[in-house]
Amino acid sequence: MSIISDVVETVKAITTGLKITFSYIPRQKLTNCYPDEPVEVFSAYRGEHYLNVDENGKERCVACFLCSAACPADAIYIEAAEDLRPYEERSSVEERYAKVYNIDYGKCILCGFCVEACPKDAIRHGHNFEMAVTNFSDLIKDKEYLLKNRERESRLPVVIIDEVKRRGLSK
Amino acid sequence: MTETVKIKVDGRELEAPKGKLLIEVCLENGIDIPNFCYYPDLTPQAACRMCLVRIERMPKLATSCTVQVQDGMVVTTQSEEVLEARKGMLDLILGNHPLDCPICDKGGQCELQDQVFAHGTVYGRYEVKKNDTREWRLSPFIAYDPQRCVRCYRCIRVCDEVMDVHALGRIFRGAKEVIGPYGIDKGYSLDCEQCGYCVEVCPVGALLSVDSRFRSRPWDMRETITTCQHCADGCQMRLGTRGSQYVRVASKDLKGINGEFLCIKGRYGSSYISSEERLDNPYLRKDGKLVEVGWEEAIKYVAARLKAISAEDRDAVAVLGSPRLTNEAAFALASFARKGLKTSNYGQIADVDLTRFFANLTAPLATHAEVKKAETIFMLGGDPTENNPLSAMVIRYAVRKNGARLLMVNSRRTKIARRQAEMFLHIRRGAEPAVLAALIDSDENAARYAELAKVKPEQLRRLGKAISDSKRLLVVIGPEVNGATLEVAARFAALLKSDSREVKYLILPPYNNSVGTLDMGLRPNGHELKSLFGTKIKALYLAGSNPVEQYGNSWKEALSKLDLLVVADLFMTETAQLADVVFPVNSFAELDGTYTNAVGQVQRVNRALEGTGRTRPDWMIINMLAKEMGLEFGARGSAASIFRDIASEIPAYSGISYDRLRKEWAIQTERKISTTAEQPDALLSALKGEIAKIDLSLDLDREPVRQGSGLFRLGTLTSRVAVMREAFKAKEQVEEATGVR
Repeated sequence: MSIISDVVETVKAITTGLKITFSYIPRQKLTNCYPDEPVEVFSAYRGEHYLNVDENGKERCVACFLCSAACPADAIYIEAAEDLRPYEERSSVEERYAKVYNIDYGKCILCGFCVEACPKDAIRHGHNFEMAVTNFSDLIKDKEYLLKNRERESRLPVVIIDEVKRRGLSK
Repeated sequence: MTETVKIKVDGRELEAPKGKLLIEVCLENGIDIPNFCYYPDLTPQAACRMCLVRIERMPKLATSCTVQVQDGMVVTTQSEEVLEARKGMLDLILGNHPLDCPICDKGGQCELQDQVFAHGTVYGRYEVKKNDTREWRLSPFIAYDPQRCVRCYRCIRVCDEVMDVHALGRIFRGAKEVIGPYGIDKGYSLDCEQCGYCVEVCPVGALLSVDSRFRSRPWDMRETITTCQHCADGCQMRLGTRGSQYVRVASKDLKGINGEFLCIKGRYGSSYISSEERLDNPYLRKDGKLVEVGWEEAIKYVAARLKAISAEDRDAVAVLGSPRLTNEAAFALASFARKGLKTSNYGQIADVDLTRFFANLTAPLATHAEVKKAETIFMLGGDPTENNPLSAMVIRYAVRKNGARLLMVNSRRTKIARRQAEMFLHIRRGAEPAVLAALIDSDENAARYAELAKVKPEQLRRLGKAISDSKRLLVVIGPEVNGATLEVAARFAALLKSDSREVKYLILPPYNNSVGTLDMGLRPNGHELKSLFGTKIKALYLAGSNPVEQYGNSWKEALSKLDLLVVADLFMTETAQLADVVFPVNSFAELDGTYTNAVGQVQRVNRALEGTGRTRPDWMIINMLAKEMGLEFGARGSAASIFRDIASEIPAYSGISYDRLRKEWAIQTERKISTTAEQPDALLSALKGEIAKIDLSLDLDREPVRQGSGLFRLGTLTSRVAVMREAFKAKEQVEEATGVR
């Protein structure tokens, strides 16, 4: 084979490759400039959990232990207790409530089994992914922290994309 | 002999004794029939109608829990019709059952959950509003949620028939029917033994223990089968623990000597193992005050003091155990005293000297299963209802199921005497030897003995006749029979034994290991040694006993005369407060070992909790002391190896090992039975001294024994159980209000 055909073939191959490269430059960027810009996450993103409350702000959790039973990583620790005061005075929906509710994010694999197992819609995934800590024991989050996570949702550096709407699947 | 019949169930040929319930035959042969109201040994109820089956030539579906098998019966349990009927029954039950399984403590081991998963439908057909009733506290122990109740009446029947307490009933009618004591709507609470059997048999979460409320869920706790540490019956129980905490005691589906039966102490009396008051470190008296120290310091101090005292006079050091110790601890303690310290002053503090009983035994001990089959029961003293509830249960069973004749001699009107006894001789307190003598002696002296016992001579004659008429006799001896009377009672069987009559014994000692610690060599000589304190005895090692609480000031004074008092206990008891050194020990839940119950059965104590690591088993403390003192007594490093020594040294225990206990659960030790022919005259002369002691000025104690007088008594262990304290308080209030004690 002559040297000329070699050069021609090489230039052809390079042009093909660069054509793809240059075609992407004018398109929308996929990388985020986190933390300067918010991150886009889907609505079904499985971030740090939050504990749900009812319309009156009472904890929904009845400490049934189903989430900890479903947890493959054994990350949830619960202690149940009884509060016999009337609904208006107590902090929970039912008489049975969680005195201690800890999730160990050193163990948690964010699989979402706990959310699926919950019969009371008391635990849900939030959209927080900023879970890095400098102290290992800080990975264990208690009930007070998880309850406040719900309020923190609005202040998170994320833009939540509604997958259903985006794909035009909503009715 | 009952004849066997042949039946056909789902095409399978089965053989069964005639008259047996169809559901029992099916369940025994592995044919599953769902049920709620059926419970072994209870009268059939046919309330839940879950066990419907098709029997050929019967017009409708029949309840298999009430049908007795007949020859040639053809049964279908799996047809579409039967399955549809089951679905319908479950639908009816769920019509009023709240779906609060996440809150209900039964969730996870609920029979209704299981049945609905196996036989029910996904959606109920009833959309009417459910009855909305609140939860009731029937007692400090038992909570009742009428909404969850499926009206199977197991609780009522078990209370009536097995417990003979009759505390529960059906209140209101129709859809509003509830279970409870009469007057439940007016806030009346249960007046019963608080045994919690109703909670155990409840198939759903209608009756629940307050004690273990919300503490854990069935799948979240670890359950260890172990032996109860309260009375001498030695019931098997399942100890549920979560992490390092006590959760509950259950007995469902257990196959031990007690089946599913447990009393108040068995079911609720173990939570002291997680008490805040548990000692966690050794204590040493410094400047008159007990202060926490490390193990090394405490052991070094005790070893040095014991060594110094022992060097002057070996017998100046005394070692006393307790009938609550495991066999292993008692054996180590006895060996340490005998071979290590070489002192002759060792034993245990006990009121009943059972050594005299076992030395003269002339008939074997009956197991609880054998008591159930007894034909004639002769009870000399004892109140098993209050003190040995399993023995009481099996005696009641023998009377209820087999029509056993119960002949009772007692100085108090106990419950069993009032309700089960065919013949009850109400005698003067302490007159047991007179009754025994009347049974041995010829008829001429009956009048004299009757006078002594304050009964009619005719009654004694009838008792004698009933005993001589019996074919299989069980002699039950209560704890008030002591000394020479106990010895004669043990020899008494030799007179009755014949080819046509089988005689067996049942004794009712007060503590869980009264028999075992005796076998290990701890003689019941504590009260004798007490008189030597301060004079001959200078130092005392006291393991697991609290005599100051039990016997009061006389022991307090005696103990204060000692130069050195070492106490090994769970709590800072009244006795421990007088001690120079206190060692914290492991509770029964934190160690391995064995107990020997009243009928001589060896049963395992299994470790359920890890413990804090700063407490030690009794035998380990002994080992540490012996090592520090430089004594050699054959110390072993584990409970299993100590038990191997026990098996090789004590004849009754030979051949028993932890491996065998794991397979067989309870192994009865073989007691030496004397075969010498006893002469009535010899027995009578042995009784003479005891008869002379009878106080003729005493009148009959006519007051009936009140429920809970023994069961709700607070001791060193039970006073650390919150619900037991509440039961005791409730009993006090009733006594104060009624003025009856």
